[in-house]
Amino acid sequence: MKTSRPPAFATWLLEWLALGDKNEALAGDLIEEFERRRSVAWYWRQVVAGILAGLAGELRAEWEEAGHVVAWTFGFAVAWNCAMSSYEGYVDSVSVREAMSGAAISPRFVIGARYPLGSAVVMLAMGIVLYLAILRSLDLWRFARGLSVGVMILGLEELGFRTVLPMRGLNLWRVIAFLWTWFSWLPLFVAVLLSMWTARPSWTRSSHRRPRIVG
Amino acid sequence: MVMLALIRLGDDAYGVPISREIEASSGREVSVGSVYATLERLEEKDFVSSRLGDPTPERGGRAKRYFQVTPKGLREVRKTRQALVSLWKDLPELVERRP
Repeated sequence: MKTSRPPAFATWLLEWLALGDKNEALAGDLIEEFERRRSVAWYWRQVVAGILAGLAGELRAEWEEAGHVVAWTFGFAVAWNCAMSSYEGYVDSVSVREAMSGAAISPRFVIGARYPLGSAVVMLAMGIVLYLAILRSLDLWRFARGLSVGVMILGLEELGFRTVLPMRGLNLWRVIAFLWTWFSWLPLFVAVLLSMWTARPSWTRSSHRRPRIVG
Repeated sequence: MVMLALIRLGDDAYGVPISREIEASSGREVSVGSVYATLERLEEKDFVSSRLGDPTPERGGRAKRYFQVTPKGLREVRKTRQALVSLWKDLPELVERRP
């Protein structure tokens, strides 16, 4: 499919989420190339790859800070898991009591299972708010930036593990879950980690500390 | 590959031509974002320097970022070529073995 203009939402996403000081030049390059000969699918592939490459580059360049974020994410994931298990235990006991007393609707309908996208997004949002509050850098812009990266990663994982790979005969999700049940937390862990990494305040960034562009 | 593409392109080396050069030689689609990530790493090592050009309308008013190999980068390319040439010389003839 080829239209005359690149998808505006993709360009916005790239400029909003691509990290470092290169996003303006990168967005310009993609627009220039798209208008010559490329498709909308190519443009989207490049935008997603550009955002992921930016994240990976920053993680590599700032590994000490990355260590803090990984430790925080791990602690938060464990705490969240414990809280959810206790809550589900409580809900189960309420459900049993209600079932015995003849109530029709179980509270499980309200909270759902543990891993659907909705509860993952709630977990992401809670993690970012707590992380920024501890750093005393809580503001709406950082929160929105972190949450958009997390939701994008969750969407890509959902698409990759549950749609694209099974379609190609490789059900990686089941293989991982079979090998070690805790691996089922890995995609969510990666999403939380990258969203907190994106949301972190500018004073922790190397690009903030050392400008590199000449001229 | 990125350093060689920069040398081949000379003064006109920015994201689009660099990616095309690599695509042409490798025969595979290249992510422009990954090219930028590599260039940033090379810049941190002082092998490459960059400057911003003027914004142009066909790029939605966004500026180009031009890259250039530094003298230190050029020395590194020469060293790598020497290493590759000597490794290549010592290789036995590449003949496919049948199972």
